[in-house]
Amino acid sequence: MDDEQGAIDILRTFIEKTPFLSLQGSTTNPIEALSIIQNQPVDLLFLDIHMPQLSGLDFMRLLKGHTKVVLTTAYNEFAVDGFELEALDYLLKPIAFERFLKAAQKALNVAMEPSSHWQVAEKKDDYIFVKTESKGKMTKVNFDEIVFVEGMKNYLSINTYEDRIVTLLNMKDLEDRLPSQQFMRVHKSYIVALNKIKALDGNQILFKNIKAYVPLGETYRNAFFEALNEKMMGGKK
Amino acid sequence: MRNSAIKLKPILLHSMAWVGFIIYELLIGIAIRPASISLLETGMGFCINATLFYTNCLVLMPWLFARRRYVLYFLSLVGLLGCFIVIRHILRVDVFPLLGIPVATPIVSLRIFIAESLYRGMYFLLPSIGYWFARNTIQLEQQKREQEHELRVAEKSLMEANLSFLKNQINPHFLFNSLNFLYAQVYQYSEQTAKGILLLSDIMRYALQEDDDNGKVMLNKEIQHLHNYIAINQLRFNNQLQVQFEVRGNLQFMMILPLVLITFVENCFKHGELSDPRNPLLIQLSIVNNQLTFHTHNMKRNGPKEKSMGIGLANTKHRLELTYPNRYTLTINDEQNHYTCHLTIAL
Repeated sequence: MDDEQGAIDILRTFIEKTPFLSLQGSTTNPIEALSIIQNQPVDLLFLDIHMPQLSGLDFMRLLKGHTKVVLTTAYNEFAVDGFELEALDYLLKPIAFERFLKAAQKALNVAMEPSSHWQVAEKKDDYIFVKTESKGKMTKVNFDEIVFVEGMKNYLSINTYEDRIVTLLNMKDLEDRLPSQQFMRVHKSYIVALNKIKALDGNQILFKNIKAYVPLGETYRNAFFEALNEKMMGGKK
Repeated sequence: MRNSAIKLKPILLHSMAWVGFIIYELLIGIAIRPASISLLETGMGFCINATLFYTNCLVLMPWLFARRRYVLYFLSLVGLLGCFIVIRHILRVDVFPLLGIPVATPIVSLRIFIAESLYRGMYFLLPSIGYWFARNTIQLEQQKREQEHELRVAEKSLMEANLSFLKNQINPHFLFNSLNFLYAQVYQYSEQTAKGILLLSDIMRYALQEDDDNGKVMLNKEIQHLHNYIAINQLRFNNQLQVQFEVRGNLQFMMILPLVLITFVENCFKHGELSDPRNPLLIQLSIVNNQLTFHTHNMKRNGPKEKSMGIGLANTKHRLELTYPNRYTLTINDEQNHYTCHLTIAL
């Protein structure tokens, strides 16, 4: 759905070129789109964000059921909102066919998989309990939620995307406790989660989706680069 | 002008200076006439010396001299010195005998006493004048520095405002929607043209994007931008351009100041001879740990050259200097018929 016919035409062309997609309907009118979807549920909707009557994001809020949405837009300031509403993907116009196919493939994979994959089964030993400041309360910390750990005078602050957990532990103990595959000491008072790293700027480490900078200590530098290179070998290019 | 809040540090410093000076005079006095030294006399004497000093530099100079009332200032100084002499006289003649303090230098004649008092007064008045000037100069310096700093901040925000104004001149939504429309229209007739529109929109998107993360971008985005730039030029010239672009090393996690590398590549395209298969434009980029090495080499084009060299390069050098002080090297070899750039940055 898009308020411009041209944008719909090109998507139609792409859908025809893609064997596992079949077009159920297209419209420039959001109200009509809603009725189409209510009469006959669809698996996948390509949705423009900028439309005069109703924005794509508002439209998503009206959707019920299992329709997956791929957002299309001319400009890239809405990615974050889109993912909050669990958009499957986000295509910038003009859309290359290869990129379109990638999004379609994503939708196919989700459709093929059992939905249970959204609930990650907890394995053994992927969390710890730590004492927090408030009267010896114990807090559970999942390893895969940790972004980085900062050592303060005699406390540690464990930073996740949601909050900061301050606990009376020492750096060495926690470092030994964390799986060395995922975590790395990068400074005398910092441990970082390797898979949350977005970039390195000079001697500052930046993380995905969070405004935080962690210094990379001179003594840890070489080991850090080695770890990154190893991740590269195993990871995707 | 003056900070009305009383600060402890200057008071302490001044007290120490006075105490030092008193000790110095006492020592001299002891050396000359050990018998006639009286602490009380010295203390009282210095009270009026200090009064003279501070009345001049804290009251008269800021109020009169600084406001260019020189005549009034001069008259006030004369008055001040007059008071100084009278008070000294009262001390010598009435107060000290009353307290039973032996006067070291009894008044022999009024004329000599006045002359001696004037001399003594000037001894404190002149440093007082000097002190005021010195302090004034320092304050002016500080003010100038603050003003310059404010000016720089203002300039910077003006520049940013200008840039965002320029970016807003081109409404991105309008631009990309239009390109999308053209793309959709053209797609069924010419895939080449459609590809060109895609490349152009990627290039525009990259150039118009907002900076975040310390004004740097991911290195692989910048390199994609170079690829796009080369690709769109290849499209324009029917894939006849002889360009060899090699990238080595691990680009992930690295960040770079945006639109630096493209400046050098653009220059090669502007001035280079790109049609000779034996001498292609060579662009090499390698990353070892966080050390970036970027190297371009091209033959120069014969015939008319665009006379535009310098601005882009100077601007880029300036940006490198600001962002990577002492962390980059740039060597340019501008030979008769070929041109080489070698840039290294510690990212």
